[in-house]
This record gives sequence, structure tokens and C-alpha cells, in this order.
Amino acid sequence: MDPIAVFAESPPPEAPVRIDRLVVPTWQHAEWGRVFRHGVRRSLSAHEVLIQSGATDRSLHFVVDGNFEVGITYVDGMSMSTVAQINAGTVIGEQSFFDGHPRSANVWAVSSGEILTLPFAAFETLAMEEPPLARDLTFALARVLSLRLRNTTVRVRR
Amino acid sequence: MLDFFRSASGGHLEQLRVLSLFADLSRRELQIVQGVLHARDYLPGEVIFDEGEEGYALYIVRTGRVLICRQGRPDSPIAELGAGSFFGELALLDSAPRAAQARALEPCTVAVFFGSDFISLLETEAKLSNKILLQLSRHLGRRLRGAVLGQSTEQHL
Repeated sequence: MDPIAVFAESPPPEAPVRIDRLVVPTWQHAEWGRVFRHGVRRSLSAHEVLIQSGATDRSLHFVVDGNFEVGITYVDGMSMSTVAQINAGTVIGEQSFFDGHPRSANVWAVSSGEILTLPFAAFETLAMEEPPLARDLTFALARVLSLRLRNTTVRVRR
Repeated sequence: MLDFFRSASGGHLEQLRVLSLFADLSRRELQIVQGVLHARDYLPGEVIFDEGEEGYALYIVRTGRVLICRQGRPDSPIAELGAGSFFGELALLDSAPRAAQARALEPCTVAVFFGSDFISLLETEAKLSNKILLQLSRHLGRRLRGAVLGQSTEQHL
């Protein structure tokens, strides 16, 4: 899969509808390409762990292909609950990316997949070199956070 | 426009800088933000915004206390905010309906940061708006962590 096409183009009709899709309305392929040249592509096998709870890494992962699950381990350390399912066209790891705190959940691949990883240092470089691109990306990521927060809050109320 | 963040002795933006949202801004950038804030006064019990309304601004508490609660349930507060706190921040990102009601607990002065002014800043001041967005995202990330942990606790119980 071409990461630029996944994020720059509308998803195919048969793809699951994601309310937290990462969208930058004003961007074309060229803008996504200028961001993604700072990232590193990685393939994952089914069941492979992408993020371990407690890890201090603060990279942002763009999901290019595949399905991922986000799970939280309870205090007893024995049981785990899936809190989100994530697939192509959005991001994983945005909380630690922004606040630098350790990862709060585990993320693993349900199927084989591919991600593009943007280290925080690479984002800082982008922000220095191309402030408008960094601003657009940050705004889009903040909207993803906002949507996930609203969705989570609604689920908690129910 | 708002000038109540200036002290009587003249001119200080430090009260604005103590807000986490504006913590990374330079003096010039703080002056720009100050220029787009608007002061609003509320009486005790007055509704600042209501649950279900379209959100169009972020509010910063300058003086007084503000209650966040579900509509018609001020006796079961979600949060009580004092000077230096801000609320309604999701309205800077979209205009989705407010998830709760905000009302003045006592005489309040708030600074209003309209989403439309923020959009203008996004277009004209990329570095400044990116600094605010980063702080806003950190704040939302903390809230999301709290919400997810609350959810897991609730499910666990």
C-alpha cells in the first residue's frame, strides 16, 4: 500500500467508516509526501505488538494497512480489555506523541499490516522547516484526539 | 477586545502566559492572542453555554468560579473551575454540540477565544497557532487518558 494514497485519497466505499480518520482537507499528495519523507515504514505480522504499555517511546504511527487493537491491562495485571479498534487512514500513539508520557495502552496487530512511524524528533524538524505543514498536521491530530475523547466520554456515560 | 490581563502598573502578559495553553508563546505572540480575546461578565447562576448548543469558543476564567454540569443538574457537578482554568476547548477544533452546561457559580469574568479568531490565527500565524495546538493536544491527551482509565475502571467494577 502507498501511504500517501491511503491518507490523501478518499477511502474505497467498502472500507469501514472511521469517524477519527486523519483528514487534512487542504492537502494533496505532495503535502503528505513532504511529511512522510520524515517517517519510517514498517510491516507487522498478525498478533505482533506495536506499542507496549509503559514504554517511553513517543513516536506517532500512521496506519497504512491492516487492523490493530488497543487494550488496557487492569490493575491486577491479569485481565485486559480492548478499548478501540483501529485501521488504515488514522493514527496510533498520539497521546504520548503530544505529552511525552509513557504509553498508557497496548497496541497489537490483529491482521498483518503496515505503519509509517514519525518520531517526535522528526516532527520537530518538520515544524522548524515547514511550520504551515506542522500546523495543519497538528490541527488534524488534535481533531482526532477530540473525536476520540468525545467518543470515549459518551461510552463511559452509557 | 480584551485588556484585563494587563495589570494596573501597565502591561503585563504574564497572567496570560501562566495558562498552559499559551505557555510556549513569546511576548509578541501573547500580545497577538490578547488582541483577539473578548471579556464577558456573568452573574451567579447565569448559563455561559448550554449542553447541546453548538460550540464556537473557548473560555478562560479570569475571576470567579464556573460550574460544569449536565443540563438541569447543577447539584451533580462534573467540575468546578476557578481563575486560570479554561473550558470549552473542543470548540477550537470543531463546532460539535457542547457535552455539558457551563454556568457561573458567582460573579465571573471570562475571556472568550472564538473559534473563528483561532482559524484566522491558523492562517496568518503558523508558528503561534502550532504552539497553541500542541498545548491543546497535550491537554486533550491527558483528558483522553483519564477517560479511558475511567472507562476501564467502570468496566472492571
